[in-house]
Amino acid sequence: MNRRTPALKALATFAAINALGLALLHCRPALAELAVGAPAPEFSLQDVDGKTRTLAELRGKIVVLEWINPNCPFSRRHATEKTMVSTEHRHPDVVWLGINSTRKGHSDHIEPAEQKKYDADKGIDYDVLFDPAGSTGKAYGAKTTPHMFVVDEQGKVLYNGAIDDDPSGRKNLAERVNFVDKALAAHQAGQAVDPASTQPYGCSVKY
Amino acid sequence: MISVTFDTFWGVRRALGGWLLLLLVGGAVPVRAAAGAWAANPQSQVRLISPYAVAGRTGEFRFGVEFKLTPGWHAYWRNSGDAGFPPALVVKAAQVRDAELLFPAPRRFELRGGLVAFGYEDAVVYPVKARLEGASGARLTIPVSLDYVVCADECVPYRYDLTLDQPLGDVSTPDAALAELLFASEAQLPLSESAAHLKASALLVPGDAGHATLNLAIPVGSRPGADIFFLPHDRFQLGKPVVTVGSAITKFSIPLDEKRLPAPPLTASDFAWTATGLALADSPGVGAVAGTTRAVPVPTSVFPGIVLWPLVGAFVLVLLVLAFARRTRHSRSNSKETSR
Repeated sequence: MNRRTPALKALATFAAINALGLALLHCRPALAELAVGAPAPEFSLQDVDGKTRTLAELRGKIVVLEWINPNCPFSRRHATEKTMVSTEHRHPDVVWLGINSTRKGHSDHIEPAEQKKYDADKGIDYDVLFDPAGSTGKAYGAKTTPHMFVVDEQGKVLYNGAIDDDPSGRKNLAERVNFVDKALAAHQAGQAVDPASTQPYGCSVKY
Repeated sequence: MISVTFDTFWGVRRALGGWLLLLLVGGAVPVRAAAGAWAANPQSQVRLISPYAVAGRTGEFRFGVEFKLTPGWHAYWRNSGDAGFPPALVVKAAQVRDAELLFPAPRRFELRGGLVAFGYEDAVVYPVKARLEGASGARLTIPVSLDYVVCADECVPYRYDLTLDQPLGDVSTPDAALAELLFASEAQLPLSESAAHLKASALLVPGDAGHATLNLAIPVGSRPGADIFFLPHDRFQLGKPVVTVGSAITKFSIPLDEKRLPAPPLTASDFAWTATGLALADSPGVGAVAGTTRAVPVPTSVFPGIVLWPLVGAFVLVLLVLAFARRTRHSRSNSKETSR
């Protein structure tokens, strides 16, 4: 019996090491960040009119994806300040899409008709897609509203992060660094996007 | 990256302890509380507090931003995590110089959808470190503009113009209650590594494509519930740490995801961290230490982790089966001998 004790201890140690290794393998960030340079995950989502939109159909174009929640004060502020719309208008060749990943049943969830009314009220002239299951949001690692992704013509992520450097909205528009604007301008000028990744701010996406 | 600590806390606390003793035995110090009015909303209340009944006209000046939070709502640490943003203040009194908002040790909030936030619930006082210069007269009105966001499931941002009306004098005298409140919060500020007399070490372990692991060791024991928080890193997204609590060393293994692909080879990289729950001998309380540690990469393993760990698992399984078989044989032979 005594002879077996060290062997059992060794086995227990091995098992602990193994468990730690497996734990580490499974402790990747719960909502993994989509790396810049990685292929943008495909999606097939419906817009406010029930029309299905896919990323594949936009191959060859630069696409901006904006995670949006009209009931989030940060999304509302940017809509009121026309941050997104004005950036979109400065880059007319770019396809801008909003994605609402708020789950059904959450108090922030809105139906397409309400989104349509909100878009009209705020002057949002780009399409907003619905992802109530959150699968597209999670595939992109979308954390906040807003959370911005820029996808290049080959379907790879060019930029991932905040819309700008002003979480509190304290700066006036001219003082803010609009990261998406900067990324689009750099890419269209054939330059490297810098920064290509920033920390997004806002409400959590309501998965 | 900057990590703010409060090395002078104990010295200041000792000094004010003397003031408090004076208050108790002498009772001669005038008590004129310096606290601003509460700004209130359904999720939170906030005001400015000063530890001084009378503040000296020149030199170090500390005050605090006190929050009371409605149950279920939280305010944020310096790195807010996956949502929100940290509070920001602008002091609009020219006599108050170099005002710096400090962040007590946070706690972790696991949100739905795998999101995580770092901050505070119930109540928190953010200490502010500043100095007075060019102040004169018997009072100084200090206007402060404060931006913050509080979140539960929802998030609500607020901006307030707060005011602290601070009596001035030639010599500082404390306000006992508010000083205790502020210093209780300052006790939650992390010490620097040098103040805590320890030095962390760190290794970067390569993983499969786009992944790595940061192994950070702090040579001090810790309590159950010890945790570690990082400032955002330029290259990696940091995942939830696996904490190994020891009596003399505390180890943290943190999964890393590359923010950019294809990822260049691993090189030495600095990580700014704040660890909590450490068993610091001469600094009770929250046991928080902050530092910036350069992690150096270890040589790439012949087997990537995804191959190695199943192999180790299979090896352990074989050993267990062999041990079980041997034990069974042994038991059978013993029972045969007994039956004979």
